Amino acid sequence: MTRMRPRLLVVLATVVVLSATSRARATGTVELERMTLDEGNVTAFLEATSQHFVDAMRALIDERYRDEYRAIRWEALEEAMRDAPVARLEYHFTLNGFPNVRVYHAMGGRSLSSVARSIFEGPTRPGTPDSPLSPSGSESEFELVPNTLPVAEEAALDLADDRFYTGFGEISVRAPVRARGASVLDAFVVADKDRLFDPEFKALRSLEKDLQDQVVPGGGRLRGSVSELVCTSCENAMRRFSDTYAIDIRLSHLYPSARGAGLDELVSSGKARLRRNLLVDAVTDRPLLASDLLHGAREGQIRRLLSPRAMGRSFKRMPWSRRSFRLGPIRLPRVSEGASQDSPPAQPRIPKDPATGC
Amino acid sequence: MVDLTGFRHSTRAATYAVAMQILRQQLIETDAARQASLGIDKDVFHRVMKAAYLDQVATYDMHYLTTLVQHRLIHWQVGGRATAGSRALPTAFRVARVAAAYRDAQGYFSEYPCTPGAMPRAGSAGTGAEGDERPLCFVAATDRAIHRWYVDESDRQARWVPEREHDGMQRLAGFVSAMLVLLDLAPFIEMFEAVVADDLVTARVFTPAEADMAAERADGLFCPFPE
Repeated sequence: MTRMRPRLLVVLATVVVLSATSRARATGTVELERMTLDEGNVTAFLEATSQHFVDAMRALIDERYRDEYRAIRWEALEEAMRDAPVARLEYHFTLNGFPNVRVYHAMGGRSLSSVARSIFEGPTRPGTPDSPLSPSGSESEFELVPNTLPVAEEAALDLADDRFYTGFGEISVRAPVRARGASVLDAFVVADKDRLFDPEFKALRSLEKDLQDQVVPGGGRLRGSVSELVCTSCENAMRRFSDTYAIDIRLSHLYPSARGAGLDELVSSGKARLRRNLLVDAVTDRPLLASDLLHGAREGQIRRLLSPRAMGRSFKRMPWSRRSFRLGPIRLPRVSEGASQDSPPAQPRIPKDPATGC
Repeated sequence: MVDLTGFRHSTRAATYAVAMQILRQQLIETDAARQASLGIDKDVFHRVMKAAYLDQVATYDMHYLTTLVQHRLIHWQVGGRATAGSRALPTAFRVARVAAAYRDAQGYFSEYPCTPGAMPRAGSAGTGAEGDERPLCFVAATDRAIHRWYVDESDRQARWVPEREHDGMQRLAGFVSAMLVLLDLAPFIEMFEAVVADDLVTARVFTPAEADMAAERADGLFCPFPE
């Protein structure tokens, strides 16, 4: 009996450890991976997600702020759309024996209506002073913090914005702001920033609602990416979410610096070089960091759709399409070109008439 | 991919084919443990390869493949190398080349536009100029010429509207209405015969008795004028 006792103890300990491990496996796991260099398709997918929101903002401006033209406001709009983080989360599950996917797209911050209203209807930002002694105008009263609404009102506004989003459907859905309610996800306010408006949080809340409404079954896998580092409170919320709904979560989040991730090695090997504060390919001059590449791609989206030039704006009777910061005379329209060309928007391609050739 | 979409949508098939090439290359070059976190989905590749019909390819898979190509169309990376080590084509030209290969695989009603020496065949190869509808000799054409052709071709394929399929009742109704039209035409044949017979009598080829027989058949088709 005395010989058997240690063996029994080992067997019992093994059983206890195994049972504990199997319980942990059943509750799901959370893995977060930091991405520095642009690899795979993460940037491509986040860029595609961002495009949905830029398109929606264009539709909103076309409807409500078509005649606004102050350059300083457009600058604020560009910044707001470019710097808001985005998240794209894919929920993989099996339904009736067939694999299915539902993709949740989210952009951080308040609803587009709120963002546009604070930019186009609120005070403008202070202008650059000509000299240290120059008097500050009324614009200096601009408050950097936009007017904030209660979360419930913000959620209602965000839902009302649905009509501006035309690219979503059954498989790809938008994750709006959701009011606090029956949820295992608790958002914290950290440094005056409500994490409820983080894109990954919005996406998780939307998935949770779908799980509760039985739109999708539990026990699936969640994969995706976020354009900025996931906050600690969101990470904790993910663990609770994973445990409650038995969902494995694996996310990539972009880290905006190559320090400690082979920066010196890349530069010393001659593969990369630093251009201002960007790490670029030594041969092609292309940014190597995923966050830099995404930033540039989103700037391009905004330039194509939301810039005054893209919207056919005029400023002091001079169309933005003809404005240039190059030093030199501005090309004036010829007499033969007519006088009514002060706001040429992008024209659709019209096929030529084969008969007349016009 | 063209076996899924059919030649009618070969330009779309070319986009998906290039996306599948990109995805396959990523699967080969990336460590399997990191594929999920980098957004490289091997399941998409296998599902599309296994599909027997276009309906079997999920919308998600289509979106996935489209995003891969879209990203590379916008952000062309200069200095890349193809799998064979040669200079990689820009993605737009690559898609156009695949679409051109599909066009060649479809075959031509008239003469093949290239000679066996891969040169444009005089008279049958198109010039790519506006109004010249003849097919290009793709193997000899420049990337830009093929891309121009691709843009026109994809536009043409996008505008194509399929014919409505008719069910059995609609086909029967069509047949009956065609028969009724033929029955309406029958009296005109009789009238025509009577007029021709009259002419033949004038030319003394027919006797008046034979012409009367033809006229009687035509008269039976009309109501006589009330006397």
